[in-house]
Amino acid sequence: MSQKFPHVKLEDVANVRAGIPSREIDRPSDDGVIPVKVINPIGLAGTYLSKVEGEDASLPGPVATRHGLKEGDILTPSRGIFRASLLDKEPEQLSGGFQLVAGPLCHVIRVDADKADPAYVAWVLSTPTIQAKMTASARGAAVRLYSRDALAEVDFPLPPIEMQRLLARAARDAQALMIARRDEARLELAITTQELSEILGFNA
Amino acid sequence: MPAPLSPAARTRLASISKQLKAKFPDSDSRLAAVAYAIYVCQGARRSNENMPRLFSAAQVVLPDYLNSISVLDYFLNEEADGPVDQQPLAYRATRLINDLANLNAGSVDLTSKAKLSANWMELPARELPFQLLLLDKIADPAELIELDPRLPSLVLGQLIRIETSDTDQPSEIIPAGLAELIAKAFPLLPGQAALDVTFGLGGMTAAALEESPSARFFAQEVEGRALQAFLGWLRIQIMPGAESALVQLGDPLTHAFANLAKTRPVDLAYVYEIEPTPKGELLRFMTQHSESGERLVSLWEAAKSRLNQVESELEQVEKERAAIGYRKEDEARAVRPAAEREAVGRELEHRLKDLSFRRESLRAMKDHLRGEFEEIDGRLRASRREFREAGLSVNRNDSRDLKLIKHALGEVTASGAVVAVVSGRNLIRPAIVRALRAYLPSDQNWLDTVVELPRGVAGAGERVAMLVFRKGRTAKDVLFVDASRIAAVVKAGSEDAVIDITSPELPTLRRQRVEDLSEAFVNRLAEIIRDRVEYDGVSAKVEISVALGESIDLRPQQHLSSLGSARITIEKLRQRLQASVEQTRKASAALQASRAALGLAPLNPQSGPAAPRPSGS
Repeated sequence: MSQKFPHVKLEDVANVRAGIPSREIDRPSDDGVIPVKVINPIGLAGTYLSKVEGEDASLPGPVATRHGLKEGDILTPSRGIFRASLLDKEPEQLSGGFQLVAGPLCHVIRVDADKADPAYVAWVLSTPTIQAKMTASARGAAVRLYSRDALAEVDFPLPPIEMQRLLARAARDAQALMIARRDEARLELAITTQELSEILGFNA
Repeated sequence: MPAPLSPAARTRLASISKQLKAKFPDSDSRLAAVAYAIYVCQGARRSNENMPRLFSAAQVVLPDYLNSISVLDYFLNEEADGPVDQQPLAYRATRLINDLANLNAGSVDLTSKAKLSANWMELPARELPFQLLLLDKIADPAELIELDPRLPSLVLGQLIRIETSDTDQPSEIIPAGLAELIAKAFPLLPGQAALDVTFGLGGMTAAALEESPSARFFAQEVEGRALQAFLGWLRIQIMPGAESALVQLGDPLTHAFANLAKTRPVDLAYVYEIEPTPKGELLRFMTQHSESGERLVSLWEAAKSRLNQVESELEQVEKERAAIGYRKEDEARAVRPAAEREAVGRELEHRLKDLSFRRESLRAMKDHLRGEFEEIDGRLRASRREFREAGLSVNRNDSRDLKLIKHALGEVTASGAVVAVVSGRNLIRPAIVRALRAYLPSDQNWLDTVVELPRGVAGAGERVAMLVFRKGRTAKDVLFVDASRIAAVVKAGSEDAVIDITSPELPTLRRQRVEDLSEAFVNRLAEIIRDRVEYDGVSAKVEISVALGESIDLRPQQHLSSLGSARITIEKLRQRLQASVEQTRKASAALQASRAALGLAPLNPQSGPAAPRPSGS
């Protein structure tokens, strides 16, 4: 089948690295340490993160600088179910004032903004096609393991940057709509439960 | 209220805590804790001779031989007492601890009855040098005191932490989060006094001392926990402003000497008594009895096997005798020369005689072995019967928690209060509930608050409850607090709480188990208990009137379901729904616009026209 858009490998448009090694977390330092939040795969809920839950840790200054995340970084788990999440805001805004680092079970993708739109890359990595590719290249019988190299080599279509932005915007809007509808449905359920309870004379 | 730790102190403590967990995973660190506390006392004196930052630690009287050398050198110096092996280290530790207890008898009364030496000698000292070197490297007291004088005590708290992962055997020592909660909910004014009748490792007193440094503290612990009490005393001593703590040893129910009501009126008493679950108690009983039981079983097996062996030999002999009897009959019928017949007959007679003799001796041995076996069998049966009876009896509650509460209520002044953390079973157990009825508003009116805490909070596999008694109160209601759901307490009173209460995930949240309590939870719950605040679905003031003979149940949840949740108005929900519908409309319009920009048809025409996008977004 002919390709509508040229395909590129992830490593051609982004730098892919592993999360912080466990040994670096809470290592004492003579030069002092700074508090950070470590993101684990369980915190990667949705393609566009607007809030992040992480574990408290302290890192020596240089380590925090080396592993600190930035707005536009994409995180993927290195095992389990493959997905991708974009830090949609500055880490301090997402975490309530803390620097963020990716945990040992995550990979970090830093997209070169001149070559691709991070929001587009995050979305495309979340598509079933890429998930299937990653699953095919995964090792491990009980738990799927995704190597950094396999992730760096995954290929996907790269349309012009303007088109990438439009696609990413549509994907982000679709996610926002899903969250809004879910909230609405929960409220409708709560109100209905309350009204039905009142019919019965229940208070709960 | 004490100032929170600075970020630098907090991260330093987190780092030390992490390393202690990594380096001291399963080892016994109690000796190291004692040595560290003494090291802190030495550091406190050294830090500033004129005005030590840890005044109380500097006041601890140390033995003369520690004047010139640090406690690390005392343990690590190989020339002090010969080669460093387990025996000299344990000996030095015992000597040091006994000397310390004797020299400081004014504030820690442990020496009278407790056999401290024997207890300490049992502690393993092999890893002590490594532990001390590590502590010196990561938690040098002088350095920590400069950073924040509270840090050494917090480090010691980490060192003497009791593991709470075994749900069948709850921690004997109050967890830090719970102690902090009680300290915050029941602050003491300057000059007021508190009595901790279950001192343990001093967690409760330490937390209260930190919260109310100007109050006076008395504490008591049973003799069997002399080691813990000594460590707890050391922990208190190295806290800033701890000069008023007095720790004494003796069961509060039999030796109420920690409080002399007239000279030292007590305003607040703490009780912490969590029952192990019946299963945990039974397992411990089995462990204690397994050694003698195993020996008895092995004896029984050996006797049985010897008896079987003799019986089978006897059977064999009987068979051989029978065979010889047949042979003799055959020989009698056989045609042979007389001399030969006589010789064969003699031989057979001889063998028969031998076998008869052997049979008799085997029979005697069998009787003896049977007697032996029956004796052991009888002992084993008796042991099993005893074990079964004792196993059943461990399920019976001796109500020590209730006795301690009664004792504490007797000790506090006419306007005093008692905070008791007990097993949640007490809220439904008829006998206990009947006893607690005496304190309800309709009677003595002392029961002020009933709190159900999250499962697992005290290392218990079941509910844990906090009961608050206040003498001389005038309110005619009891505050019931269901704090078993962390999120509901943290969000209590906020808009989010409304959704949480009605969310379908509620049943799973009820089974939530925690071991550490978050700061937000502790602060909010302390506020609810201290200010007696009512929050929908979390807390409610209930007037209980109990008629004689009527059975009652003190679980908070049942009282909340009829009061707290009723105040979640549909109006509030509707307002939120309106906002949510607007949000959905905007999101839908935005998606339509995005799709239109890509030339895609609208998905849901009812959502209205695509919203114009602000330029540059």
